[in-house]
Amino acid sequence: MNGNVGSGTVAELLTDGADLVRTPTLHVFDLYTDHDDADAPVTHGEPGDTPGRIGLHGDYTVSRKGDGFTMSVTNSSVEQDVTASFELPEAIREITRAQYQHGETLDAHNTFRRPDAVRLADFAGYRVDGARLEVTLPPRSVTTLRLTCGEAR
Amino acid sequence: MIRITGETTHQIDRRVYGQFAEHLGRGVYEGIWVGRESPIPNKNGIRSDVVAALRPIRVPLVRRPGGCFADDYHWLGGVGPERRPMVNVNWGGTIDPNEFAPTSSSSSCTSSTPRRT
Repeated sequence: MNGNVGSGTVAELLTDGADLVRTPTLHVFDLYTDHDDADAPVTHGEPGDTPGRIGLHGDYTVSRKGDGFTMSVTNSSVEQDVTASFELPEAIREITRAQYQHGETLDAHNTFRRPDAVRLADFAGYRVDGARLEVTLPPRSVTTLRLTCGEAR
Repeated sequence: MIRITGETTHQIDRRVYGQFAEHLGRGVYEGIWVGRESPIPNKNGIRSDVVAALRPIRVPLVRRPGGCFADDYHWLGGVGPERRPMVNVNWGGTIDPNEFAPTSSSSSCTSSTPRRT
C-alpha cells in the first residue's frame, strides 16, 4: 500500500445463530498486523517500476520495526506465479514469520460447512542468500514474511 | 530487484487497518450484539466468540453505525434505560431496537483492543 490506501468493505466474520466463520478477509488483516505503527522504508525498484508494484499482478508493503522487517506481498493473478527479489540493508539473520493465504480456486471461500477452506498456512516459497530474499508467490495469494537483519543486538 | 534501504519516510498508522460495522443484515444484531440474556456466550451482550476472533487482528478503530444507515441514525436513541427503536429504512425496513448503542460499542472496543489511541 505504498502511497495509496486501499479500502474495502468485506465481512471479516459470518455468524448464524451460535456458529461463527472466519473469512479470508480476516486472515488478510492478520497478515498485515505486523505493519501496525511500523516505519515505512524507502524502497527502489527497477527503472520503470511502479512503486509498490511487482509486474502486472504483484503488490507489496514493506515496513520496519528496529532490526525487523516485514514484507507483505499479494499476487492477484488468476493463474500465474509472481516472483520477486528483495535486497535488505544488511544480511538476513532469521525468518521469524512466513505465512500465506491461498485460494485453490478463484472463488474459494469459507462457509459454515467448510469454515477452513481458506486459511493461513506456513509459506515455504522463499530463499535467503545473504541480504537477498527471493520469493515465488502462487496465484490468488497473500503472503507475509517477517525477518531480522544484521548482527544480533 | 526491490532494494529496501535503511532510510524510512513515515510511520504506517495502524488506524489505516481499521474496521467498519454497519447495521446491515446480521452485521450488528446477532453478529456482534446478542443481548445479555442470550444463550450465546457473551459479555455485556456482545458475543464472546466474535471478540475472540477479532483479537488477533488488533482492531485499532471501528467505524459505526454506517454507511447509509448513519444518515438516519441518532445516538440519542440508543442511550439510557428507554431505547428508541427506529426503522432501518436503508437495509430492509427492519426495526432496529437501538439496543446496541454508543456505550455498549465502547465497551466492546475496550475488551477487544489491547491498545487504545
